[in-house]
Amino acid sequence: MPVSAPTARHGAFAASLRRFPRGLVHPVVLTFLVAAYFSYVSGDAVRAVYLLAVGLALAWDRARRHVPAPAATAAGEDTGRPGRMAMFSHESVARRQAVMTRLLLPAVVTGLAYALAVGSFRRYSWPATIAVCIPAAAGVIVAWWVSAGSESEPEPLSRAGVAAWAVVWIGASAWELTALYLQPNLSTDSYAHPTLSYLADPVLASVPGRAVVLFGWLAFGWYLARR
Amino acid sequence: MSSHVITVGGYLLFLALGIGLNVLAHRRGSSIPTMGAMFTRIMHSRTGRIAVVAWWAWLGMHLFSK
Repeated sequence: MPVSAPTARHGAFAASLRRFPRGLVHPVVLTFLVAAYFSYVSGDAVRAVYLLAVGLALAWDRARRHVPAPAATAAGEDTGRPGRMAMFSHESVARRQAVMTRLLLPAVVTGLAYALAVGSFRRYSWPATIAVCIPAAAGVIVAWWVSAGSESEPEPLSRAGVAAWAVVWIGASAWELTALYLQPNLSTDSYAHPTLSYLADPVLASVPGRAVVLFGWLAFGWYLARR
Repeated sequence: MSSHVITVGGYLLFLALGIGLNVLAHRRGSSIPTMGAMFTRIMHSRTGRIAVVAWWAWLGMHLFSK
């Protein structure tokens, strides 16, 4: 007997809900949840909520990906459309990179104007908060949106090379965390054990310094978006 | 040597290692992936892509937002 679309959607939602705890068991999701906890205990409740929300959203997404799409379930057949779990096709990446190459010059001009304008705002002020949260939120939403492409196999990388990069990234992260924990407490900076953000404070104290860092942050986001 | 110098030296060491690894990766015939290739590989999966971009967003908020 055919299943109606709303019933199928409810069934898919219930199945996703049942799978949600399993979605939490993933290194990336757990990293976000642990980071949220440490942000909270260091008195940074806003970013703790942000990290928690990203972690839970990733877990929910992972749970949903393992449940058949409602339309397909209702019809009892494959819709032929790529699922939300699908990875990127080489075509979609090439298309995105071509569009971004065409937009490079206007993006640089806009980025410079943004960096100079937002760099003039005081750090941790409301104008700076709003101005930084807009591109940050847009970046996350776009990443969510573009990652529902068609499926393709990633290019294989050498294990030794990946291990070497892992040593650098994990080592640097561990070094930063060690400095953080050697502070008098998590919310008090220490000259003896400086974190990277403490070392960045003198640069971010001036308008030109903030403008340069903001432009670099946007450029890094652009670089990531081309991947 | 003060702990400040040691801590900053550690950051510089990891920065140098990263730059050195990337230089080695760009040599012809190298089996080491470039940093760009590493990001591309991580961001090939939906979870990886969102995680990396969310980390980038967090970085901006950490440095500038309330």
